[in-house]
Amino acid sequence: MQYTSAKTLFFPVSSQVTQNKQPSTDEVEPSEESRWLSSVADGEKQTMGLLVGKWQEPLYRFFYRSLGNHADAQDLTQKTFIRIYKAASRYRPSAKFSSWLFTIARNLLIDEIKRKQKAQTIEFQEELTSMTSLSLDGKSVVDEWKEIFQHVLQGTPEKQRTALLLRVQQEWSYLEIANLMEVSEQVVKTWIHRARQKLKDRLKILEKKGEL
Amino acid sequence: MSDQLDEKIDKFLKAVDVEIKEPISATTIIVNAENRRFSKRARYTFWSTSLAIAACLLFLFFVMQSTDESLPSDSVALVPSSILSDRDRVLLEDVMFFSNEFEQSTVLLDDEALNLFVMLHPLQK
Repeated sequence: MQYTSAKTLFFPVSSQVTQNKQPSTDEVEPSEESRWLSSVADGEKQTMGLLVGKWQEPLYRFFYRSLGNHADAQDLTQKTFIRIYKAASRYRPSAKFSSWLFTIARNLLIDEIKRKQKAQTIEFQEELTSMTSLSLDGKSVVDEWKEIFQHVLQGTPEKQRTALLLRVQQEWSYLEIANLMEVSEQVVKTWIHRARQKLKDRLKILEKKGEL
Repeated sequence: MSDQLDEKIDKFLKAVDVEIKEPISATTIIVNAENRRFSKRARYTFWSTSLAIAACLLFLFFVMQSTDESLPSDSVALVPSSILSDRDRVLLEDVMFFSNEFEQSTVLLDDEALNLFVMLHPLQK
């Protein structure tokens, strides 16, 4: 029995087509998050505070690096917790809590990207053009290259970016990422390599220019 | 060289220095979740009510239209020729004349329609 997406986290899918030989998720030990969610579902709403306290920073950083601004990161972190709260009674600890959490987070992220895609593409292209001919006068070099990196990261496809962030930021295994994104481990490795390569290429250009 | 680049990239991606501007409280989450639940319900109510009203209006429109169709038009005479005698015809023409004179709304037959009627249905002698 396998569980591979947000929808299927609640319901078993017997004929899910994946390229991975995944371990049975039924064997997952109930985590402290599962117990907290059970309490929330039973009406002990204050337990939600423990969940928020533990997970808001990882979520916020994931959204911040994905979208590049605090307002969106704040908004999506809040929306993720709202979804978690609403789904508390339906949650079954059949997969790792973090897998469930980040599946919800990723779905929200994709919705947000789609919503802004048109405007964002135009803005991004304009900003990237201005960023490459940037003068560093009066600005911190570190802040500057972080800004450029953020733009390069946002320019990578969502799948590559999310895979890279889950791997580096959240320290997930390739298999965990593959399960969440419903692809093979090999595909995940390729995505991560490509995203990382883009960042490296940009970094090398900056170093050659003597801006780092 | 490559390791240094990787380190820099990892440091950037981990975003350890990124701080939450406004920490989220569980209370805010709960309040928002409850509000959204309510607004979602309100949205469903709004649409179902709107649909019901639209259906009623549509029904009334069709009912009124079918009623209109069953009424004869002001300028059309629906009088079978068999029941009209010469006397009736004269009487009808008089009524028509006065109706037109006083622009009453009870005009049943205008000249043209009457002529056409008479031509198509010659009066029985």
